[in-house]
Amino acid sequence: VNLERQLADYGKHLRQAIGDLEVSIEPGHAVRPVPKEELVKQRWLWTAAAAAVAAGVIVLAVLLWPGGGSESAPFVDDGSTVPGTTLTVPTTTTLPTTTTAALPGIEGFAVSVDDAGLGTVGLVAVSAGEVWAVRGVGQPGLIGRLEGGVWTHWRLDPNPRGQVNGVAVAPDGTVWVATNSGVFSFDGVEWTRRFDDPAGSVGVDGGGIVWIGGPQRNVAQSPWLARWDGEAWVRVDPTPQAAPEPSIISLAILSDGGIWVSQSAGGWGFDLLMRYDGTTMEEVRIWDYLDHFPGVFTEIAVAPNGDLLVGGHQDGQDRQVRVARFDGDEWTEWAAHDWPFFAESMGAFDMAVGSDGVLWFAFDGGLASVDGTEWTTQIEGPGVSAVDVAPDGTVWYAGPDGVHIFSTP
Amino acid sequence: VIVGEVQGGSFAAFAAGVTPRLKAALVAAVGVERAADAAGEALAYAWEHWESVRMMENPVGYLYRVGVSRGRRWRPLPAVFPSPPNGDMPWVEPGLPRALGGLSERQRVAVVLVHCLGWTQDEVAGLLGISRGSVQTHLERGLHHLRASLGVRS
Repeated sequence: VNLERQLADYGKHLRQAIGDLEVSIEPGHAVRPVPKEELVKQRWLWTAAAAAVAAGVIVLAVLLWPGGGSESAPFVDDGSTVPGTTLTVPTTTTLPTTTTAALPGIEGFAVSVDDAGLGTVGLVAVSAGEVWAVRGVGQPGLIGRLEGGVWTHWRLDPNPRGQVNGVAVAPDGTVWVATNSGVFSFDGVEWTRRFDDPAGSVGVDGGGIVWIGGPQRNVAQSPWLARWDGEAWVRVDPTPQAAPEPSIISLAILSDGGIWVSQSAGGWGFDLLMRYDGTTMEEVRIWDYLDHFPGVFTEIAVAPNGDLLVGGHQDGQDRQVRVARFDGDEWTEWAAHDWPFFAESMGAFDMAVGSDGVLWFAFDGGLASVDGTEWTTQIEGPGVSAVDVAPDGTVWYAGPDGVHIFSTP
Repeated sequence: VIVGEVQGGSFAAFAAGVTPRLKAALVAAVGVERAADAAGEALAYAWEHWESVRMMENPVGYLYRVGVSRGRRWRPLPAVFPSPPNGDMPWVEPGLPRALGGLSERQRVAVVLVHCLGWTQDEVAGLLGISRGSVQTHLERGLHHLRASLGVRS
């Protein structure tokens, strides 16, 4: 029996399984049968509550607005404001610090915070004494800073399902965080809401310009992209229809000013790689340049020399790690020996490059380095989710039991 | 709360209309075990954002993406497909369900929806937001991988 016939017959069994699936909506979403009379009553209550909240917001805005000198930060595009993105919160709003806790202990270079799960979304190593880590996919969003041996945690979104999607640290030390409830910056003292809508990622270029991005409302469109001009976000893509739900995207900003954006179309790994050259945004298909580069890539990163690195793995059951490099002119594959094969249940990893050219991987099998062409598994074990190399050469990683320093220069 | 019980008029009708195709698409993407949760997440999202979802040209494609991305974890889980009951369909290779789980997601979605569930390539293209030609490519590659995995020629 040929394969197509087998699939068609297996489909009969699958249809039965699909028919048996019972789909429910979590009660946490406040979806429940409501009698009509209660709906009417609720409508009045909601109307009254909304009016009270609106009045409160207006009063607060008048009280807190800093002399009218601080404007909200809408998108601007050739001078026009994109509807629906105007801030409703004064930019000086201070967001609460949820917890400040001393470290449970310091053992050698290893420092950790229990139960935080930080680093699953991102890690930014600042120095041997400071690291930022965020979590937020599949867990309530949390931002953590370890400085001087003390962890400070923030939760910027009161929604328990609030998701943190990215973190970046600008050259002036300002920290930027992209979440489902907006974009925030931290100047070392207070958090400021800079953008009201969901953002899928944030990055900072060498000149300190902050970029944010996210998917478009139409999944077939390329991501939206905007830069912060100090007062407002300037859209650089032509179709301002940001989706209300950002899937994960990743930004890599090269020293030549090129912005690279990768976006998932709904599956594991990224399916779409876009390049914005300062004027236009266009899709780049690596496999048009590299015969053996796989169709699934999961990470983009910038090497210290300004090259773009794209990490991925082969399709199918034997998923060997691959890395492609773009030097501004042409694509090459990172030559390597004995790079591992991911099991079919694995595929995502984090990647970072130090100033010494060593490539680091955090993956579900552990922490590994590639010096030249040799792959070396430095830590073996599940749950390593992120790695970053600080400018001073300190290698930080996030494991299942917290955030640690692996090595110092 | 079962979707069929959800009040809200047009949303209930919308949910009832999209759920069969959404379930099928999510089964193809994430496997049977996780599809119900993913569909529930997607429909909850639709409820929360009903005013924008109702205006979408391709709500199933959008909610499919929401369902898959909301089920995303750092460590991806394999898509698990059930084996036919013992003795039923003996001509179906026993390794077929596992081999489907080993395909890349797009290949699996294309193969399962077209060859198992009878969707047209245009319907799959609309779901994924890609061209019909790309669907054809995923189908061909998917079938090639399946034949290699199962050791069959035809």
